[in-house]
Amino acid sequence: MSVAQTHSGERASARRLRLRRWGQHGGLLIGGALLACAIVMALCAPLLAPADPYLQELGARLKPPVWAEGGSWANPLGTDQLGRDYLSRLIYGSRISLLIGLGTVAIGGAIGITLGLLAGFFGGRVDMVISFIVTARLAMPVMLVALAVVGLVGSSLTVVILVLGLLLWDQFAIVTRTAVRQIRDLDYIAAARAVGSSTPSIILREALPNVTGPILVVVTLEMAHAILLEAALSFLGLGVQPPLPSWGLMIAEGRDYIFFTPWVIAIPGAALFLLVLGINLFGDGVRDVTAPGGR
Amino acid sequence: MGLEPPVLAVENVFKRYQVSRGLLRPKRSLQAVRGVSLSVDKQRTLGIVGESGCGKSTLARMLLNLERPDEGDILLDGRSAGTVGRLDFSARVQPVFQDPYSTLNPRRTILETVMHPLRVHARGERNARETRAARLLDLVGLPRRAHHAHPNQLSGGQRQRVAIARALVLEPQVLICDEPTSALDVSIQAQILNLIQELQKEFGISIVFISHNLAVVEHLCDEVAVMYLGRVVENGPTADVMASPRHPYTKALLDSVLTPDVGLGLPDLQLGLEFPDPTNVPPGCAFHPRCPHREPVCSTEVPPACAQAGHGSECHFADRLAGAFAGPAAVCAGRG
Ligand SMILES: Nc1ncnc2c1ncn2[C@@H]1O[C@H](COP(=O)(O)OP(=O)(O)O)[C@@H](O)[C@H]1O
Ligand SMILES: [Mg+2]
Repeated sequence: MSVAQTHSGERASARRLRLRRWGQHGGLLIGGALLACAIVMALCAPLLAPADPYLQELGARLKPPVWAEGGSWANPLGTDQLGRDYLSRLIYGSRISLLIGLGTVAIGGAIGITLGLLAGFFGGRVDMVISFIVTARLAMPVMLVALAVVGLVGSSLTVVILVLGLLLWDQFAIVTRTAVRQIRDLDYIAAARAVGSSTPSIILREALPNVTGPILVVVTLEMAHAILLEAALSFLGLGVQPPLPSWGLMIAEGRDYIFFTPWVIAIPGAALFLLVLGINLFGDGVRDVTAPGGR
Repeated sequence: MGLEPPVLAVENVFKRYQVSRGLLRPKRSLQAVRGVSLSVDKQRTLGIVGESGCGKSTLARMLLNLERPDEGDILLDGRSAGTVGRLDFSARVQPVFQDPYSTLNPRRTILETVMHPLRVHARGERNARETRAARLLDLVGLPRRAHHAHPNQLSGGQRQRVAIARALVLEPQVLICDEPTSALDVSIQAQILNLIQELQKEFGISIVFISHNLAVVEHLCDEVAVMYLGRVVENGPTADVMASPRHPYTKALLDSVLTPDVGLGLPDLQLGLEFPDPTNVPPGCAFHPRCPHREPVCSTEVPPACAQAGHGSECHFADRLAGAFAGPAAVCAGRG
């Protein structure tokens, strides 16, 4: 029993050590905080939003935010051109951005990591074929292809996620392949083979867990990438459709008013900037903390 | 000699690699192992020595069934390795590798590492596996507080202990140790070597011990095989080979053991600058460009394998080299 206690004690102290290392990285903390804000906003939108984001009040259009002249606490960030509460739309908009980011990364990651694992682990002909597919994908301009597809099949949240997910897997494949190539000849892989592990089990249980650091960095980069692409698509009218409160769409809808009521663009723009900044800081931090020297 | 077949044997195995020398130049064939036959008997230790690059690790990978030979066969208890299933083979032959810093999966705790073979072989319940793994770690002398550590928290010597525990947890018949101590400090080397010896007695296993240090092999092994450029040039009972080497390469190795920097392996064999190149094996006796005793025949004719009382060598002038060694003339196959 005392042995068991020491064991759990050891386990706990190792965890504490790891936590401390994460806690000392400034960029990681700031990025994590920004990301956490966005996630809380998305999850608790109905609780946090002061009003219905779809409720139009045409008598109260383009009201300024509370700090500007004529603003009031009734609409802390003012209202948009249809008199909808801007803070509420901003809060609900975080759901769209995160959904796009996570959905794209889930699809792109599944494709890219699988291809990267196979190419890196087997090398030879498998690697040649997969590298060719990656090169072919890199030759396609993401924005143009996305525009073309969305233009053809019509745009919706699902379509945007699918299109971006099916396009943004190249970095996953490239990074995973390189990382796996570096470890596939190490002795612990040979030891697993010598113990009789099957090839799929070696790829998933020996190789994959040892390349998660670089993959996590790509996750954050591509999430930010996807969120910006969605904003761009929505701005062009080919992304998320109104009346959904996407931040990109909010910027698009406000662009006629930029000279008179600049906050309608500045506010969703700042939100987008902070979210993407947070994700990137978080990714950089994760890379630093999980780098071989730091682990 | 009993009727029992050796636990593990290789029969006339060859292994070639294609190495590219740049984008547009043709690939060259590298002959890593060229027709090696060896065997280990039950509870015995076979040493394999030779310079770096002579094919020891390649042979080890074939003995572990990690790579198939291009020609020849690996026999486990007299059965071809190709007919023994992968799980079955792995339960009976296990490795200890050279580099303590890459031999353990960095993402697993020490206890998980040693439990993993049991899980792959579906032996016992989780608790039973944990108990068994912990017992093995006790046996190799790893403190209990290290059980839940990750490899990066351990020293090189401790990692090799874990690797040994992992290799023994399935209770194999043969351990293939590929230079298990050459990456360690000299003081730690002795500890690990003693541990391997103790565990061999306790588990009654056979060991193939690869090293480039003849002193270590002399201490540990019943039999020794000396490799040069992918071939076994001399083999036999360790004491015999050490006392009366029948190949000039073995003799040079033995002389180098007497130099002060034994720990560094084979720094200077006084054999000239002709470095052996497995992509370009010299004709005749592969050793002749470096041999102090060479005669014209050495560069034209492959020396036949001669054996004398279980002590074999491949040299045209083995008898002359043995010098004072008195006895019946060697029986040499196909000597013209
Ligand atoms: N996978 C491989 N591909 C190409 N060449 C290899 C490979 N493995 C080993 N070799 C070559 O085979 C020769 C023998 O290597 P190795 O068996 O590792 O020697 P040792 O363990 O005795 O130092 C070396 O010249 C090495 O470069
Ligand atoms: Mg080697």
